[in-house]
Amino acid sequence: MKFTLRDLKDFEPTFLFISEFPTGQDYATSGHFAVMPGFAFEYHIHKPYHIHVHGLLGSRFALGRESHTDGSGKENHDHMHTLSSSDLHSYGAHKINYAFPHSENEIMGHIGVMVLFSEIGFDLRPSFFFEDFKTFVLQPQVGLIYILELEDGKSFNFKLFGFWALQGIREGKGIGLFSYLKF
Amino acid sequence: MEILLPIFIYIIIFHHEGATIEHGAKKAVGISPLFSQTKILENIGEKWSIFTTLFGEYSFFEDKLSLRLDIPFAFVKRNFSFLILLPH
Repeated sequence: MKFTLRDLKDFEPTFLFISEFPTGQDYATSGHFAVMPGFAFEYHIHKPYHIHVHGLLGSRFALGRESHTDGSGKENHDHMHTLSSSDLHSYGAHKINYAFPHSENEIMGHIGVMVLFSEIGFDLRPSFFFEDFKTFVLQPQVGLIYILELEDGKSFNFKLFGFWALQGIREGKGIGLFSYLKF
Repeated sequence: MEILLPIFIYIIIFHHEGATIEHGAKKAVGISPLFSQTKILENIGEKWSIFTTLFGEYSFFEDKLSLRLDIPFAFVKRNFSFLILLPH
């Protein structure tokens, strides 16, 4: 079996600067603006199959004053004191957004591998989170990939994936479908 | 009253590894729905939520810099969440 490796100069860590506004106006959602700086890398092996080894080490920092509502929909204006002691002891982190829970400040990362066999492939991505710098969370993720080639270099891309956060504020399972038209 | 109207997530990325399957910055439009069942939902007696994002991505500078625009929204049961209004 013969592999053709790209030049090592292609191994380029890249800096990410991501900002986010969360959604939500009910439950434990919050209004916050966050920046998510981080570093990512990937390494390509394109023969005999299309293989990407990829990784990310990033962080999330919520900015500004936040407001939370509790489970009854009643609003609290100082979210730092809205959680019960049992909540804090259970999760060790400040909960944000029931729809897609995460902590206020956290570190995240993964090292994964994606393999494409022509139009079908898979992606393994064991992720971790360090929620509020207190709780370490493992979140394995696996995805199936399908690429439908169209004319003129366009393609539909689909990735069906599932994940399972084993502990922490985001403890639970999820199923996602990441799809887009590339043109 | 302080009103925050977060309509977009914007993501400025240098070759964002998670942007597309190919990991390269491309021109793309898509959707990313996510069904989640988290333990924290038990606090409000719900079991599932859906978090969906419409996004578009455009690359320039020889694919070294890309701009991604996301429009997120979410459902917890029949409660739709999109904008945030925060009276103070």
